[in-house]
Amino acid sequence: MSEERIMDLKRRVYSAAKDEGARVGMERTMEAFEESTLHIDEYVMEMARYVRDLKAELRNRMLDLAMEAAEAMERNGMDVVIAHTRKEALDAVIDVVGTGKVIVKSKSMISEEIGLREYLEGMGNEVWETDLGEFLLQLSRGRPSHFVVVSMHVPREGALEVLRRKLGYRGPPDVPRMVAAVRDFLREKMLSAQVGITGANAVAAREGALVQVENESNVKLTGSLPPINVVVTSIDKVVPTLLDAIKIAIVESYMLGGTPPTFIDVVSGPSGTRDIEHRLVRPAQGAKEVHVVLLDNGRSSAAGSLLGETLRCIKCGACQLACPVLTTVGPSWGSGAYMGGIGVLWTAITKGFEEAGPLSYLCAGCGICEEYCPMDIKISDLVWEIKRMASAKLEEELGVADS
Amino acid sequence: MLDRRTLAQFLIENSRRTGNPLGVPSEKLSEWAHGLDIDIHMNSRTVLYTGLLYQLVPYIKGLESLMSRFEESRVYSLASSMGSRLQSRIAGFSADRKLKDRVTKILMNAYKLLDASGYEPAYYGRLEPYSGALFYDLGMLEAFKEHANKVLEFLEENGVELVITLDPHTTIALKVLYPRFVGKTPEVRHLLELAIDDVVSGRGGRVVVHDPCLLARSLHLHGRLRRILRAAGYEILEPRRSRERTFCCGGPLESLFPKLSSEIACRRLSQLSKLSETAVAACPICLANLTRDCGPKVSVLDWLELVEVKA
Repeated sequence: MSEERIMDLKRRVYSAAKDEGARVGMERTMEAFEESTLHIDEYVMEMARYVRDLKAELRNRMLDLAMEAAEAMERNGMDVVIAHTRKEALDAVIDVVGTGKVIVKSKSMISEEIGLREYLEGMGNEVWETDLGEFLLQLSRGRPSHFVVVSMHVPREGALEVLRRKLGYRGPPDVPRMVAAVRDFLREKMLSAQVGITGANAVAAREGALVQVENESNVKLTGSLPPINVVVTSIDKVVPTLLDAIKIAIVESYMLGGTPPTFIDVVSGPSGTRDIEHRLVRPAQGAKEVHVVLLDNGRSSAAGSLLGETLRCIKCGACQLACPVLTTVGPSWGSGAYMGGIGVLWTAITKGFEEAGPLSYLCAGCGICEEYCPMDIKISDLVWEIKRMASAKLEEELGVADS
Repeated sequence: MLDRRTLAQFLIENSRRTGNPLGVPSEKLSEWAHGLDIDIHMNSRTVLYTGLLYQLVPYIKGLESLMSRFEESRVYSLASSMGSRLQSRIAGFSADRKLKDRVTKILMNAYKLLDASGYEPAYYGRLEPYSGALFYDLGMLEAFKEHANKVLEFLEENGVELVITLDPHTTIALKVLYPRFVGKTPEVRHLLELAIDDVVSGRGGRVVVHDPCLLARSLHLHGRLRRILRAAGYEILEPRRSRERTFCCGGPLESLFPKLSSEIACRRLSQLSKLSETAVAACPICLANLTRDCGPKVSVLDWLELVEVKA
């Protein structure tokens, strides 16, 4: 690994640490998170342990389970592609989308992982993020700082500035008015879009169903208003049953906000009706076609590796909101999609050790992430392993012998 | 800005030359014990092993101001071209005087607490090797193992049966990391694990606790820390993040990302300052990193500055 890459990272995090606004945003978010997650009901913790054990057990048959899910989803009338690489995933999406379309899109880390928005734009499409945080990042050309609270580094003052500059917002600096303006803007886009791209929090193999958890209702609308719905998700999210998938949705919601989800959406096929003479007609009110991309991109080969337990991660982001380093430097400690300590691990899985190595040096090894992780992933220890690999070559060059 | 390679080279060369990564002459690191009659327990099977970490704090602080100037510079050094210049510029750094006096008191207090509780440990002064903890934090496992082997040899040569440690980093190294990566260690106890409850006293007052990460999350000694502080007459205040959910001071990032570690320290100081003007920590890395002036009105003391042997 070149020293230049570490120096680049150092420049990025130093300049990020100087951003007062970002710091204020993250400090406020962190404080709210700490309060809301002080006491999590034992019944939720029990569910978390169930999910942890289940996902640990599934790790080595991830691909088989993905195939099972794909078959079930096909039976339900959805088109499914299992994409082994980033390129295969992008190809699968562009096959459906083509060019010259208006596309609305909800937040998804998998789409960040493959750089989907930028790719679709490059292919001549107009793409709009419908999650408020992600929309703010799109307008300000920012990167996410968290799996869920993607714009935690954008305080209300920053949001106001972006909306004024990019959306021509002329209203007062109060948050509800700002949110309403975004709602009006995006509603129009949702109604005119030909394609809606969504993600999934979990996938049920038996039922062939996608489960999405959200608060804004933008996922629902993005997935059902445009005639075509493309769902981009990954093979590590497949679990045996719909009940398992819903448990994951519940756990995710509680871990981050301390509250149950506002919405859990289940998608197991295109919209349709049999109300007239019991003959299936598609669509009814929702999307006519549902296309699903299940991405591997390093996951199945990581299953048996040192990093295998990372695949238990449900991306709730509790570890990230607790992290003193990430909440100081924000998105600069990341590889685009994946940030913080857990992000180092996901980066290693999806982009390789070369990319993850420099990032590992930003972990202070304090272990708070492990304290918060509902899946009991030894995040700190695993990041140290990546650091060790990154340092091994350096030690060799400096003549420290392997004893 | 300092690059990883130059830093690693600096630490390794110093270690080879002096036994510790900052290159401080070993006699300076045992000066604290000059006022003690330590020779009397030299045959003891129990040893006080400081791991040199507390003693290095004043030097870390001394280096800090030099390093921060280096961090400001636009050029960065690749080891081949500028490494040796850095080496010579750094060679002249000196200890932070005030902190040196504080550390002397901390170590003296530790020794006296042990003595008063009947442990009679041997202390080997400048023969004491460095634990390697810093190399572990940097992922430099081979350098860490070299140090670990020296420590294990030292313990074996002296027939040590019980090792008493004073800080969480050294304790974790010996208790957990040596057995994992190198070999078996004799029994290891942190000072807070020992029965010192009956001999402690203090000035009293209200203090907010900053739990060191490893002390709370890995050693689970946060309860003991509170107990001893209470036994010494202090009233304990809890910050927003405490016990197992404590907020890291940022210290472990000091070597490679010094500016970041100071930003994190200032965030923690601000959290602590909301409860009291006096905070108590129990780790030399926290002590080094939280001793800084960045706004919040709170001074951080080590528990061994607040707790002493009952008169």
